[in-house]
Amino acid sequence: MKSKDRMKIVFSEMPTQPPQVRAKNFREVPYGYSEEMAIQEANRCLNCKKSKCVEGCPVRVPIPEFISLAQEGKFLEAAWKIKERNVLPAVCGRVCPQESQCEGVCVRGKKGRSVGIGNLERFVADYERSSGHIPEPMRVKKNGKKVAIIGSGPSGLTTAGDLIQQGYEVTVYEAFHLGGGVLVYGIPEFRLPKSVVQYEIQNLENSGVKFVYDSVIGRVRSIDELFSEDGYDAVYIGVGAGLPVFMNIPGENLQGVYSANEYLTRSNLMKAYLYPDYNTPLLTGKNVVVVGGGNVAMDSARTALRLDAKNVYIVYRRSREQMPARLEEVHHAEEEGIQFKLLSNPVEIMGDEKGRIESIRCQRYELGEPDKSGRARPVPIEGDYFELTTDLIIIAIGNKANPLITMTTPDLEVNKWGNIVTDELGRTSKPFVYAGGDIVTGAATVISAMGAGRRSAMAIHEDLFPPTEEITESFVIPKEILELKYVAIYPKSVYLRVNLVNVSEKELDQVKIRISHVHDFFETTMFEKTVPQWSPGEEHEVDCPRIDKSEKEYLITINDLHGKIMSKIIVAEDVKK
Amino acid sequence: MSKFEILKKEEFVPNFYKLDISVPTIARKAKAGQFILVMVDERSEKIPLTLIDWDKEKGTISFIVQELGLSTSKMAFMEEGDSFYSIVGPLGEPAYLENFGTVVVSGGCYGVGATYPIAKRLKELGNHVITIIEAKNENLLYYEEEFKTVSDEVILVTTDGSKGERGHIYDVLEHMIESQQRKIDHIKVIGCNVMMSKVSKLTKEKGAIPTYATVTTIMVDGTGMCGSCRLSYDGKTKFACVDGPEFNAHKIDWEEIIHVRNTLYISEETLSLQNFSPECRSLAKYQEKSREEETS
Repeated sequence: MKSKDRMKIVFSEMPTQPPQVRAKNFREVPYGYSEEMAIQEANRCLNCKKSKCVEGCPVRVPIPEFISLAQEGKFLEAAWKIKERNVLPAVCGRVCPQESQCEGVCVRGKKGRSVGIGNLERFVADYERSSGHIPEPMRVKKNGKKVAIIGSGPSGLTTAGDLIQQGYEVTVYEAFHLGGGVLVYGIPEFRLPKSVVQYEIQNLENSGVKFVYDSVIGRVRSIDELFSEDGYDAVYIGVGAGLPVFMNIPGENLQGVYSANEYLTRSNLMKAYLYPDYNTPLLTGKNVVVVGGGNVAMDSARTALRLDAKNVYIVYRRSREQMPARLEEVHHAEEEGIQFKLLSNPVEIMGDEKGRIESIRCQRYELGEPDKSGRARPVPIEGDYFELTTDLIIIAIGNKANPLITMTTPDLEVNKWGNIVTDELGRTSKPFVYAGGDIVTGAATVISAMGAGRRSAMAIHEDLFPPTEEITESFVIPKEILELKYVAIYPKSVYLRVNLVNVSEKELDQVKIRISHVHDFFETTMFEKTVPQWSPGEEHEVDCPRIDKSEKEYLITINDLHGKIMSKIIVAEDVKK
Repeated sequence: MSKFEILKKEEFVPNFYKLDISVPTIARKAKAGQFILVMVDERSEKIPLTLIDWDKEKGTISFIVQELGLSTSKMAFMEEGDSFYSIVGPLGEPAYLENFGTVVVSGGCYGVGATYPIAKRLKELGNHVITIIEAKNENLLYYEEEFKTVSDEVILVTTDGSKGERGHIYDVLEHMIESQQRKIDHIKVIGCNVMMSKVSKLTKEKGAIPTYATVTTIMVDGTGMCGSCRLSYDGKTKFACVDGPEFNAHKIDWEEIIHVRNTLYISEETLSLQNFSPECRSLAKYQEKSREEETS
């Protein structure tokens, strides 16, 4: 298909439950694409030479490559392609703020709608899950090192997934009775079905990750004890930002005021929305006020609506454009009838003689000069107040760092907000202790926490198996075609940077780099990477995590789209050093 | 042995059960004053219960349950060999314990068991320990013999005077303070919030004797994540699950705990019980009535 034709295809809107219907149930809002819709949407992708979308993704999902596979209807392969970089595609397709990441930089977005990357990611991941065609987890030879991961949220799961593939013995400690962290206690069923999360955790378990529930590290075990008594070689802290911020206004401790954390945890984790079948109670309100403008505020408001509220208000002190929530969530909330009280901020909560809330007093704001972040600063308008009658208030103005771990680990450096201080790969001030996600950055997104988890997995591997720099000369390389610029050899992985030179074609399309083992002329692929376009002189990185150093021979094969082998190099002996 | 298995269950007074559970990880770390969060089955609420004993070698922990609401009623129905769905702990900060001199350790109703490890540790630290335990009547008094082994004196109080002194813990305390037989250096109190608030008021007025109370609040996660257990302490908001559960009683806003924070789910609790079993319906009604009496 020519680019011109691709440009003509219109965006496939994902069908959803009608707002009036879904506002009364907890089923997922979008139904998902059909196969036809997915192919049609995939065909809108121009497969740009310079894939800006990949740069926009915190974990660098090979977006054009998985979409190309989807164009051909190879949905399973597309899902596996994503999984090379992202262990939770079904989750990310649903909860990533795509508009400010991959889709935000998509060239098609300059004129009209960006390619529905999130929708496609969701579709192929769901396709894989429902197909039952799950690739057997790769049985990796154990490398003899043990890593403990604290917290089973998105960053912990990513770290676990990366490390298990490199031969580590991985144990994830979770404070709750179910795994998934914020994916389970924070995000409601109608936005992320819990079966999706459960499935991903099951996959990790199948690949050998051990989960220990009901364990609050810091209380039942200190970090030092994880090293000294349990013999872990490294510890990753991905505990999230679990300390609710309150407004510190009068009346905040009255009956009927929840932190969003409590409200959502009761509803999602403890399943209070199914009360009394599940025993955890949850106050319901007829007139509900949610304070805040992020995803958590939207989730709380929409949960309240589904629990029979008549009026649900979002009170937010800035303007709509400044709301940090995903566009889709704001849009869905609005469709369902959530009422927005923007440029307003609560000043007092009033209650009756029994201590139950009755109303909330808010002050109106206007936008003033931009603040340090460049956002127009909301300024209170003197004397301009209004009151809302309410029987349930949910405060969703953010979270600070939960001090449980840092309190019990005095030699862990924290900043003035209590967030753990790390280098860019998540190394903390304590040797062999790493941290990532909200506990480091403050409240952020699922995908950025996953990115942090991945970087820490790299750091853990680098620190436990320090690289030995190898000299490129020892490789047998036909220099007229391929030049090896840099090699770092780890016991379990090989990192190469290769440069294609002196090829006759001006440019190669869809170049595949494959690293494999050879036994009796029988080849087992350990790693494969596709480079959409490769111009002479251009360098490419190959980071192969699954190389087994005990192997005698390696084969690096490079071929283009038509299977024409450009170069075949046998790397022996040298790697074993 | 499966996870969280009940090794021993004992109903030593009507509606009060002591359960010994196998949880080696908690047993090896527990300290006096800490608690656990318990779920009976996957549909249960998480409820906090104070640890009353633990055995590092055997890997067991013990707690006392008073059959009150749905979760505790479910526990009352459990038998030896049954297992809990989830037990998390040890949670909270350990109680403030050192050699104070003379210490009064007082506990009422479901707080009696919880005072036991505190009295035990205080005795080990060399304090002169006077234990006061309170119950409605003679039939509901428990742990008397156990307390004798860890206290220098044990004073029993019953509301109806059927055994020991007649009245409440604060009556006994008031008498002790006024008679000035012995200088009291430190007081621990555990029990219902109304009783603790009265003790706090008394000791604040009578010479501000350092008094530490273990508050009972509603909790969900026990790690400071939700703020359900928040209370006003010395003008600041504190979380009972991570900052407590023991606090300097004189700085607690008792009014707020008793009348605002802890009566949140009474109607839901009643509904839960009614759904659970027909027998619980009458129990629910009875409890609703007694709660009204207690707070009024």
